[in-house]
Amino acid sequence: MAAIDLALPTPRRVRNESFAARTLRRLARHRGALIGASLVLVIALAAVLAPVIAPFDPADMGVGPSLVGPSREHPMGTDTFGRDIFSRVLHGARLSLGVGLLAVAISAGLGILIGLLAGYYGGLLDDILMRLVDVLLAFPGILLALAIVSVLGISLTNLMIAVGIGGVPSFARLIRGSTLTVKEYLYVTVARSIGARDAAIIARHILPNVISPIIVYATLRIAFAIIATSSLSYLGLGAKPPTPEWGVMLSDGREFLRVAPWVTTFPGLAIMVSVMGVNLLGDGLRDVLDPRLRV
Amino acid sequence: MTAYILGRLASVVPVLLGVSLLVSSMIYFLPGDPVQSMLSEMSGTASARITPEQIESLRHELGLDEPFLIHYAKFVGRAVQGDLGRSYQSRRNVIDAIMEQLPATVQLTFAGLGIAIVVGVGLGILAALKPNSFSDNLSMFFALAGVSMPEFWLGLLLIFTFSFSLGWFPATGQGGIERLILPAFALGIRAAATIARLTRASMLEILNQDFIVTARAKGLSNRVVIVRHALKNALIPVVTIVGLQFGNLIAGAVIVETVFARQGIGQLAVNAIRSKDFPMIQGTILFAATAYVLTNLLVDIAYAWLDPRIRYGRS
Repeated sequence: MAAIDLALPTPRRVRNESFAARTLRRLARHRGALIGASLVLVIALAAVLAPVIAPFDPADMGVGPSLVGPSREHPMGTDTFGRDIFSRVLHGARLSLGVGLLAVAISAGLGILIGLLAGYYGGLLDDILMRLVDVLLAFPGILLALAIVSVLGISLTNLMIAVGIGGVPSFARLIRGSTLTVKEYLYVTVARSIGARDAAIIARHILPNVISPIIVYATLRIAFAIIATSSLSYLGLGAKPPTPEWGVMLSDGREFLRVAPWVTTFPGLAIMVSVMGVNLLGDGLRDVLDPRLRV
Repeated sequence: MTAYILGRLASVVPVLLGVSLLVSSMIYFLPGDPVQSMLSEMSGTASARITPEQIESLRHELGLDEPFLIHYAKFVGRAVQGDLGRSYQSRRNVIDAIMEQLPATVQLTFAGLGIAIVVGVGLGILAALKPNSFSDNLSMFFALAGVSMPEFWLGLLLIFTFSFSLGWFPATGQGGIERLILPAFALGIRAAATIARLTRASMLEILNQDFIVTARAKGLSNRVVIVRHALKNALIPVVTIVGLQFGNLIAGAVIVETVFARQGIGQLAVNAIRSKDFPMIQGTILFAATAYVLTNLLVDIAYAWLDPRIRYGRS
């Protein structure tokens, strides 16, 4: 039961080292996690190396004839403007991964803050924050992001913020729950009794112990963020053409689905491979870190 | 049971009030001037050509010239009477437009839910019967692919395969079961994948329990053990996830309606956002959130009725 170990009041530095090493060792033996990590690595490499390995500029029109199928020169074919789809898919990885990671960083950052405050202080503050969380959770799925985009205006940055805020309530809930448990531990009482300030107790004693349980959740949320941003971009509520964003590319290719299916197939595959990679890695992490959470 | 239902009902009221507070503050506290952007969107003229009188009259119509609390009180007062204001685009009552589109969305959502449950529970059972077998691995690979595919791509793949290549179904539009099947699959598969994983896990847990061993020891046939003893218990957690998935289906309908060019509340909302038609945006989002909250209320009550332990467990 790894999760119980995590909550033990052992010194932080020592535990973190062994924790990371142990997690990595177990992950390396987990078949799904290995496949997931490889897929994520491929996408991450594509994202980082896109400017180097992309044969053409993703925005350049007429680098090939319009709508030709996959060939040696254009491994994924060209779109209606004669742009190279392979180059666009590679650059799309930068956007999708970047936006996915940042959106989850927003969700986790705000969610952790709200969860810690609500869980640690309790009382009226807890009531107010948790009622707010309940209200936000009443907007199903991507609808909260949709509502926020309609307020902020349509752009990829606003979409990222919207998807990020959309994820805050679930993080806040999880963190509040673990904070409620951790704050009752003896070492927190001890810290308080020797006069440690609240901020120090939260930062030094509670935060490290509530973060590890949400690593898995945060990983799986990246998959959701990638799907949500590409979906809303497909609807025309995020990135705009000619941005090489995968959702936008699918929306551009929709018209030519019958004659040029490759225009939508490759960005679609790219989304699926990234999301699958992140999901497999997240499932693997969950099995390794906390077998009780297995679904 | 009555006390549980009343308690649960009472907990819904503040949530709905909060939802309406957020939705009504959307225009009120918007950065930039929504009234100006609505007017220029509407008339197609540059914002310089809009007169202060036009702005004033729209602000008045939207109740933006009043203090926020009064604005909010009026918004709620009208909303509970079914008045969600008028679309700035079509000048129609928002609620009429929603009600007109509602049947199409309900049809799609329930068809998607049906597919999610049948495919999900089916695959989950198939996988759990022989853990780590080929059929288990195949089902779980399918489930993984299902959760990893955005609805819009799956929708396009289905259109390409079943309407363009095979010609079995029409690609887009409204009406008739043949136009519902592809969108329902595109909508339901992600939920089906989640349900399949949960059903499998839940079945495996139940199949290891003493009463299953006892049932087998009594000499009951495998089918009776699986269907009558295991499945009935394994499906209890599945009921909750179905309620939660319903929210994803409502949100997914927004995307699927666009992919298949279907009518529905999702289309209404997306078009409203594109044209900055704020009364319509507020109306559709408030409607969807309320529908989701009330559905979950029904699911919770159904759950408590099915499994009496719940009523004592939660308070």
